[in-house]
Amino acid sequence: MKKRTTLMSAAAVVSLSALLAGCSGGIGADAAARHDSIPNGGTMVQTFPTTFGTNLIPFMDASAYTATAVGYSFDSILQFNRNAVLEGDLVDKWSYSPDRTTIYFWLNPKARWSNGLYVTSKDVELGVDWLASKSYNTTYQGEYGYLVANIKGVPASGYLPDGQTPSGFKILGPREFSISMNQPDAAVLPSQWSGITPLPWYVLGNLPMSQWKSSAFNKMPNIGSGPYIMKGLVPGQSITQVANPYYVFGKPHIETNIWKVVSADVVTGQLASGQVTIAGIQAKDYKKMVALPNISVDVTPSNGFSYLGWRLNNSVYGKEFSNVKFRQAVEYAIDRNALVQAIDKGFGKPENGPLPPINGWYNPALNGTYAYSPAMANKLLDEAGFKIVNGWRTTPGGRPFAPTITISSGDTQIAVEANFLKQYLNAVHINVKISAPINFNTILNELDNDANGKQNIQGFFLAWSLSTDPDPRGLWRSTDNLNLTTIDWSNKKDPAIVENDKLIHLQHTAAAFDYSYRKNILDQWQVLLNQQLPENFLTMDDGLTAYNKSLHGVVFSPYGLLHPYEWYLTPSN
Amino acid sequence: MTAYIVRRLLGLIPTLFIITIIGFIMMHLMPGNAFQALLFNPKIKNGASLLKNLQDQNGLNLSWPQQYVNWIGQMAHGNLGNSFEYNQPVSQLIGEYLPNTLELALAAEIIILIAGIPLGVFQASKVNGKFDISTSFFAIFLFSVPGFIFALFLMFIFSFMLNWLPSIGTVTPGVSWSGDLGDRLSHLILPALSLSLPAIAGYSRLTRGNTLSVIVQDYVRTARAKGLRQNKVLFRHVLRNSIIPIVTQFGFDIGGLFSGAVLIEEIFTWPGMGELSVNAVLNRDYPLILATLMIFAVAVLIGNLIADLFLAAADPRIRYS
Repeated sequence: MKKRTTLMSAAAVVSLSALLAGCSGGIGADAAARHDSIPNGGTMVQTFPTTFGTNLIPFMDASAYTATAVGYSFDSILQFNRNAVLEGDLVDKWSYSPDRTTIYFWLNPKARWSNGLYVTSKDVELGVDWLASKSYNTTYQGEYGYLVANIKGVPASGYLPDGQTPSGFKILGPREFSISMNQPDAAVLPSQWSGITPLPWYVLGNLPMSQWKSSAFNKMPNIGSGPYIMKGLVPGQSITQVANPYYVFGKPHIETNIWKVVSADVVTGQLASGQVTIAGIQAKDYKKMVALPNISVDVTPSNGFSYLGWRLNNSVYGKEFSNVKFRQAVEYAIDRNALVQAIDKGFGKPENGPLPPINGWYNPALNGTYAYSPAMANKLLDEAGFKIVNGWRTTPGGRPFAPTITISSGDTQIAVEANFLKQYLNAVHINVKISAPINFNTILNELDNDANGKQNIQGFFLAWSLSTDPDPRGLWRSTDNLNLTTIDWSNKKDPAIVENDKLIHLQHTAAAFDYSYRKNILDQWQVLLNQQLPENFLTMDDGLTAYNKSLHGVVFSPYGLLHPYEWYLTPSN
Repeated sequence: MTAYIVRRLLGLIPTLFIITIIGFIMMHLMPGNAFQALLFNPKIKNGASLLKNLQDQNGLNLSWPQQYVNWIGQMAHGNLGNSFEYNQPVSQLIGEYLPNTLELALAAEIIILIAGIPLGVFQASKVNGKFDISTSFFAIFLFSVPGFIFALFLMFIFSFMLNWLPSIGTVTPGVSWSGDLGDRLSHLILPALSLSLPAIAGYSRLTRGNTLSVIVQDYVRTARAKGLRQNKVLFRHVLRNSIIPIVTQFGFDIGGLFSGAVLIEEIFTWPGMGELSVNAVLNRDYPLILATLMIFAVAVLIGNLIADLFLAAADPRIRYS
């Protein structure tokens, strides 16, 4: 979950048939020739809106910005392309065992560290051991421990003693290894194991993991496997990286990449003056930026969406919120197309279900559902017993019905959008009120400590940013913590909840290795959530990226900016 | 005097103690904690157990008094704890961020004193003249405009339009001259000016008012009658006697500049204590909140002490014992 305005990240169109067959990575002769003909050199400047952490060993730091910079220095074994298809990276071939519980991996013959040494299976093993270690999962928060949680031999606690390899990881040769799971799981590779990141065994292998944090390598890893290697860091200000001459897909064209912390308040000026090369901008700045002679703006959908949640266990209005007709009425009452136009300046789409329209697993049958209709909203509310007294609706029991919507502070656009929601709901006689914006952590605290439904939060306006794979586990199962925020899944007798859990289970079973089967299951699940509306889906916003016209080759995608090794600079006009 | 300073410094200890207790209670009254967001990360499948582990490891499962006693115990050993958010020792973070704030505050104070006091003295010496009226108008204008407006204006003119000065950070990354004196000064100019411009106006008005009350004194008339030059009269006889309230204000401002720089640090991406403390509060980073609170409190208390010492230096009639 995240604040309404920080959507960034990912979607997934994983071709499982391609996964089963394995596929080849690397670049062909034509691509290599093209790569060689492009101008090299120069410096590009990218931005972080707030400061970053300074632990630079992969996964150690909790900061998402640090993870982004570290991701430029350390590649994972597989990656997603712009169409969300899993493809080779440091690993270029993989295949499943007949029972689909083991995956065999072969390292790319060109996979080297930046000092020229080859990446080996031992390096991959160290990457697995690190994520499965007690040190990582206790001392360092273990935020990414989930990546290896399904490897056979990783206990329920989620970690092993430092340096112990899970029994499911086997080195088959210097450049070949396998990973096993207990049960076939169609989502494990795209959603978890693809993110495993090799670590240089010859640097860290003999150092106890408990000491990694204080190591020189953590402060400045001068060796890496990604396109850019760390060169310098000024705490709170910048990270400087230089092109890796031994990068698996060829040395990047741009020699130096700098990450600068730049306040969102001034980033457009920095772009205009050429001090920043590329950065995300807000929709309200689009016209201003696109009018500048030295700036181009890319618009790409994002794999996330905003929603209006209702506390179904709320002690005041929980019973009313639990009525599916109320939530359906809310969906009809809000003109989501108008929201996109007014708030996102047209850069977005209405959201109809738990996956956004850009996602390859999205069920197009959801298109056009809940088209704006105050008449339909009023009809549903009348049917549910919400009578109108003195212009406002009462509960079916005759009490005044005046729910509040909680919003987070820190972004005026959130308040503006919440006011739009208020107007729409007021129009169907729901006397909704917007609470004064409160700190995001406060919202999380109230949601997390509301077992008795007596916290202040009744309705709330937030957003999800989704993972690359559509696997709903961790978010939508009745047993998932996150359901505390939106739906009362404790009611196990509700057939919709039983159906939800069943479909989520089926979408990752052995049968789900078949793309059509999994797509069909996920389609059914999306229809179920579209009907039940455990939360009111609102809009999917586009991501807007402004960049200097001297920068070329950027691969824009819903998952972010891909393949920085393909980017290049030409002299400014 | 030394005994006085030592006594004042020792007197800081109980004050700081009370400040930390109040800060500790307020910090825990804020809803949420640093790890709660992990529960709401869709990727983490075992968020509840991870949250419990992290709370246990960081002592958040203990009672408040026990947590406070543990923190005091750590402090007594010179250990400020580990930041939840940055996953680094707090002392290391303070060591990285505090010098930047000191640099900015010191530069701003120098600009304020160099510009504000002479301006006020000259205004008073030409009271109600063209110079006084025009510069007073300008000073009131500066005083009325918040520093962050100046920040954006200066940034727009000197960085975005003219491209003369950098607008973010303390050094230029990725170049051979990164961190050189010239590089650091060029980064310092705009944020220091933004921080000091409103205060220059304030100091000039304060100096003008005090100078006007002194300039009519008999000893000033005597000095003039002796044939001393105007500047000598102003800066030797008038200023020395009118500066007492100003140095008191200066001492108070030392603490004020620390906290007042938050917005300026944000706009210029100046990695200082303001940014660090705001992030600490927003992220419920308890060890960092307490440490930054201590730093601010010490700055204010030391500022007051410096004000008193300046006062004694400026006014021979004041002696501490």
